[in-house]
Amino acid sequence: MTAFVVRRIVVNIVVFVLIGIGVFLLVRAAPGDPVRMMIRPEDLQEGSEAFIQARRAELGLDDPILVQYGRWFLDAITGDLGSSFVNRQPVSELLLERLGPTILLMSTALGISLLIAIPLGVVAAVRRNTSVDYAAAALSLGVISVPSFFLGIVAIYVFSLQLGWLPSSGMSTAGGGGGADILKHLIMPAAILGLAGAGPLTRYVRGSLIDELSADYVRTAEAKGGSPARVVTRHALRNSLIPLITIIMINIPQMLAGAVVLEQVFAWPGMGQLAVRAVTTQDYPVIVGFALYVAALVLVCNLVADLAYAVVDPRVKVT
Amino acid sequence: MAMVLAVAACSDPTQDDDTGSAGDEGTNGASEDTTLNAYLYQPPAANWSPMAPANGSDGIVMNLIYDSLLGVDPDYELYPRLAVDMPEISEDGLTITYTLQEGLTWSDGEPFTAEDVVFTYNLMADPDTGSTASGRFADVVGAPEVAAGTADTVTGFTAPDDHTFQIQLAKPNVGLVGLTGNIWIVPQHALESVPIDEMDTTEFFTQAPTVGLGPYVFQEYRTDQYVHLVKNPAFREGEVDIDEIYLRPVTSDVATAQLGTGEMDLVQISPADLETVEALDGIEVGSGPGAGYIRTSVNEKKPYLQDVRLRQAMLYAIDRQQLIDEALGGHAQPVNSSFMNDALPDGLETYEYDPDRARELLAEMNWDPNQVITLTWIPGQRDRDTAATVLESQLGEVGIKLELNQVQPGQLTDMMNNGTYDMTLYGGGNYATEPFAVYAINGCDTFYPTGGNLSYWCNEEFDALMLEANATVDETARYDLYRQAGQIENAEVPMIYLYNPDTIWAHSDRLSGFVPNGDFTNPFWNVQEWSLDG
Repeated sequence: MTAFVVRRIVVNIVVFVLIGIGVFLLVRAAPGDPVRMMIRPEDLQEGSEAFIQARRAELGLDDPILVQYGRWFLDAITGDLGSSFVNRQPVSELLLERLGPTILLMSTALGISLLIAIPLGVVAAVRRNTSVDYAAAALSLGVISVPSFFLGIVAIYVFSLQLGWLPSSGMSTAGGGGGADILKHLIMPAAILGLAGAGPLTRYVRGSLIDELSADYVRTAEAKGGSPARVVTRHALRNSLIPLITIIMINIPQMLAGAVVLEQVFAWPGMGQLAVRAVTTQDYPVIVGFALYVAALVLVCNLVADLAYAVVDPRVKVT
Repeated sequence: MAMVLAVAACSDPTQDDDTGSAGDEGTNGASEDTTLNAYLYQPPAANWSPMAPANGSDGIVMNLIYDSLLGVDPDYELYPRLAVDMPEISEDGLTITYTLQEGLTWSDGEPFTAEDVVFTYNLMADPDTGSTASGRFADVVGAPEVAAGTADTVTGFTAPDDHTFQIQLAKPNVGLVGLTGNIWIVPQHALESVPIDEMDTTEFFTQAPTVGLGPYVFQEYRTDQYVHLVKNPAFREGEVDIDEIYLRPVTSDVATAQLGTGEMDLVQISPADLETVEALDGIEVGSGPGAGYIRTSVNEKKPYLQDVRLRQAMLYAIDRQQLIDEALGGHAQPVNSSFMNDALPDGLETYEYDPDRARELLAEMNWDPNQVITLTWIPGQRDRDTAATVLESQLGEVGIKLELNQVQPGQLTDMMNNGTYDMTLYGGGNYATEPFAVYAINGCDTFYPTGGNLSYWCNEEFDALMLEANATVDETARYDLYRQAGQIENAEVPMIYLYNPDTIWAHSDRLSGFVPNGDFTNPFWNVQEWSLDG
């Protein structure tokens, strides 16, 4: 087991470094010039060119790309991801202060997804081909089909404008704060993100449980006189959740993508807003830093999925 | 989106989310704090340095926390702020003297003196501070040495006494007043220990610009959520009425909706939202003309784009009034010159929509109808996207084949660097306050990238008039020269002038004293005259 974990971690580190190289080179291969873009053409004046040349030299943009990468890599392994070209603040600081809100949003959304998907999937599987099952299918297909930003706008309209129950944007009331206040701001974006994630999850829970329900051990359990509820929850559901772990872990990056969009709609102060802005201003260090954070998240999720699989399913032997 | 906004109109206007009361400690008896919530069209870059590249959101904040020698009013006229009057320019045009108000203090109580002004102007003239505008001071004695790194301070900036700031010029440059009089003054006592080359990363500018001369003091920036400002007790006109301001970056749709719920008091809106907002109860709308305008450059480095008759034909072929009505609901003015206000000459050719005249001009110059011209622009702004398609169809009608090319900002930068574009659609700038600003987009020696001349149009007579005007101290004579230059520009059509869009503001009727400003970075220009009920 230890050898497996160590091997997987080493592989992940190699992949992580390769991702770093790839992103570093790709953002620089994109057309444009981050320094030149700081000044709109109509604002160009005598002296602008001096600023552009000086800033390019200062940021090391005139050096060969491998030199730039080498310098960045040596800093990065000490945890220094450089500074934003735009506001000159350290990338790690910019990302870390936005990491918390993004994780809060995503983890709440994931919790909501599971709270919806598991009961709904179980009911759909047990009562399959009944109206309950069809309703569950319609619901999951519905939330899969409707883009979350649209749901977001509809929710703002209904819950903020019409009913006035929830604030329409941000993470806390200006000048206010506190847990309850953040919770109020969290409900809408997290529920929508969670709902979007619950759609596919419900289908997986249903499919996985149906497979298990037709297994021999379930028949055995039924034959031994277990009540239907006990057979489903204690036997079939437990086993059907094993593949779900992988599905959830694989879905986390997708959920992050959804969060990026919803952060825009709800002005949620997470990493997504920063990343979108960094892309439009070609803020290379921030783009690379964001990509690395996301890459780290994906790799960790995959690792956790593998390990969890081994722990949960005794049949999986790792060496 | 339209649905959301349409129904925002029907929402309950009595619902009033007073966000300022959350942190109240219960000061009974004292009058309630008044809090204004205003919209930022994007989160600030969070570098509140006057030297940093212009960024509209940060500009709105800096206009509140800093002050300047001169200000610009909604008519784009200069007026004195920290100065007691407009500066005196010596007869030879070589000395500009500002007299400063006496007895002013910074928000931390330190006295404000002319040394602060000298300090700030030195920072602006030194590219090592991250200043993008050092070239503006090229005519100031000693400034080229600082720009070149061979001197530390500009000898031409002096403070003969605590209340006098003087600029010595190597050659007359009257436009310097209009182009640099509104520089935000920063406190020497808070910044003098910062090394010059660390000025753009210093904590004062990136985290806590808490000392200023403006009507408000910077309190806090909650990342991507809001900038919190409180009134400055030491403001030169006395304490302002509204105690606190929250500037909140949200999407324009949410901002418009929040006007209806009372969560937002002041919002810049697009013409498309105007009808919805006007239908809201308790919301007032005002607008002002912008300081720049939307145009397309015509790259004269391309042999097939050099004939002036082609550019004139294009103007005749485009129904610009119809374009304004279609793209902006009529909230813009057609433009026929880069010059504005007093510098705008009378009797200009207005290039009224006349496709027959366009065809005549094209026939006269033997225009090859098979020649394809590419129009490049960054999509995403409704009016510009509409303009591009209108241009395509209307130029097509007179026999000019236009091909539309949407690009990302980075691609456009590359195309500009390499000069590979035919025409680009863009806009902005500020030509309303200081007419000499037009030189930066039309001069023979301001070709991109030295300046913003993206058409590579060059007319020596025009240049001579502009330079002479900028060296002429007498105002009447100066503006006469600018108008002559304007005549040439109007006839030669260095770019396809389109329109000058209005800046539209919507605000709660609880807010009084608001005077709409066409400069979208300065809605708070007269905030000391504002008050907020209930």
